[in-house]
Amino acid sequence: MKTLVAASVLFAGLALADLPAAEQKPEVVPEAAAPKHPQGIENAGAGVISGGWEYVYAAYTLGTLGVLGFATSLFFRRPKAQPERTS
Amino acid sequence: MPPFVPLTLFALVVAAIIAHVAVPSVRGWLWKPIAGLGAFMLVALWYLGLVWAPPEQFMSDVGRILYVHVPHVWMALLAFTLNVGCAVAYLMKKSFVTDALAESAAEVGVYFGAVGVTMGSIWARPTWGVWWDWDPRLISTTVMLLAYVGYLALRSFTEDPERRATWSAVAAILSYVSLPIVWFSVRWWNSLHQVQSSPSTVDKPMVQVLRWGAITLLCFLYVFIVKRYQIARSRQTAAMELPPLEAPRPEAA
Amino acid sequence: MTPKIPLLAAAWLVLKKDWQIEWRTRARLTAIIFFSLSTLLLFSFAVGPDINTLRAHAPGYLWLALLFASVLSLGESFRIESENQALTGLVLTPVEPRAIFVGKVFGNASLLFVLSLVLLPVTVALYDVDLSRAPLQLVLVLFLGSVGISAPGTVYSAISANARARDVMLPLLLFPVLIPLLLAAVSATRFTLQPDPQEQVGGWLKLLTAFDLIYLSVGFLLFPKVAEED
Repeated sequence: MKTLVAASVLFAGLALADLPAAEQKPEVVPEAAAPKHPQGIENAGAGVISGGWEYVYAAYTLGTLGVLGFATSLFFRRPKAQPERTS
Repeated sequence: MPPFVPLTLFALVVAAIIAHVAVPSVRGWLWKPIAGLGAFMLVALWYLGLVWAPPEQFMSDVGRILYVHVPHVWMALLAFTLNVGCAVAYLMKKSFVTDALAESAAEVGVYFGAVGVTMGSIWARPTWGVWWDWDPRLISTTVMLLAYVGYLALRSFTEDPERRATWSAVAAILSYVSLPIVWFSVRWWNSLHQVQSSPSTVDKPMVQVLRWGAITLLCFLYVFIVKRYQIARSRQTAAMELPPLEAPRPEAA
Repeated sequence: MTPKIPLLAAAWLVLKKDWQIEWRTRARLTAIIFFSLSTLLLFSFAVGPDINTLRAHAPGYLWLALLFASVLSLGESFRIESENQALTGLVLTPVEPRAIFVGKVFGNASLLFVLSLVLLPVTVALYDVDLSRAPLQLVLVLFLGSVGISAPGTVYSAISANARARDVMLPLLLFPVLIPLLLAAVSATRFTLQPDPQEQVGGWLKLLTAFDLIYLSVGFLLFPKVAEED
């Protein structure tokens, strides 16, 4: 009974917040969301931002090093008793 | 990406994790081919993201960061969802299995989230000219990350295993509940200051590379979670084999 | 309806007990009042003596001072219970743990509310804000904000009261969750104290209420699990 009451209060709170459900899907929005170009899309050149390769390489290196680093940390914390190896 | 694709993949990963937990014979080998697949796909992602994909319309080459940044944030959200699912399951029926799984999902989620937010910052610098922007997605992810860092700290500062499991489950649910509220409030707060960025149409090769990146990281998500889970389980058994200590009650200040 | 009355009555008893303990020494209230007074003073030193900047940001300073004070006050709220294992005694009495939650939330909220009322004249003195625009609405914002800080704060303080390094644990867990509350409370206070040409205050008040209701109900559902481990 009290659980029901609390649950309905929760829903009332959610309804009050009127969360726009459709807009919350993160998968719709790859962060390609650049602000609108002032001259309009058709007038924009092939690339509004030129260069920036060092940032791209930094991001890819970070991702790869992150995977390697986390895997290494898991390897060093692996359970001692078990004979199988951890990656 | 059709909305059902990520859900199906997530369901597959959850099924594989459950298989790892429940079926002992799977435990020894299943992670190996998946780790191998992930490593291969990661190498291919370098080629696909840096060479094969055409430059993005507005951001040209800087847009290539998105192929690694966005999947990282997705993985963090998936891991946190898995964590809160385990927390609810633990509160309904106490089990150290769900507790260990919750711990590993939280740690892996914090890893992916931290890398993802850093990549977002790297992307923001050439795109917006700043390292940081009050974008709702960025803020929500960061707040989530902070909340889960608190969660991990709570776990490491509590000795008693049952207390740790219950308390961290409650803390996880409270933080997860805050995610939509944070997203909504930041969006609203920020809309007064600048025009909200809108999702632009996404080219087909972009979607394909993005999907490739997501599957790559899903492989690593699976391997990391099950390996971290084994560590958590072995720590639990080690703690139980020790003679029971008298838990020191915190002295009243 | 009968099963609800014992819960509310028990919550009222817990609330009265907390008020009594507080009233005997008034130590907690005095401490947090002086703590937040010095916080407000420090903000003006950190920002500089420009009165226009100070007035424009006064709502933010007020809520940050309240937030910092709430950490001290919430931490104390369950520390007094962990002396002599008083919380265990409270849980063993034929009182639902949920009643303890409701009583504690409103106990903590009343303390913060009184603190915020005390701080209002200070903001007038230090930051030259104009309180006379909509005083009742301002009181409503302060009350909703106090409840909003206390609802998740009570659960977290019950958790962190028995953890190691509890003084670090509470803000670490509480602050991320309170970010939307801070946004809503500061914006609502700003549009109450300053002109609100776009009529935004209603939306922020709604968000504040929603935050309170969501965390009151989530805490109400989860608190028994926390209490049985204490």
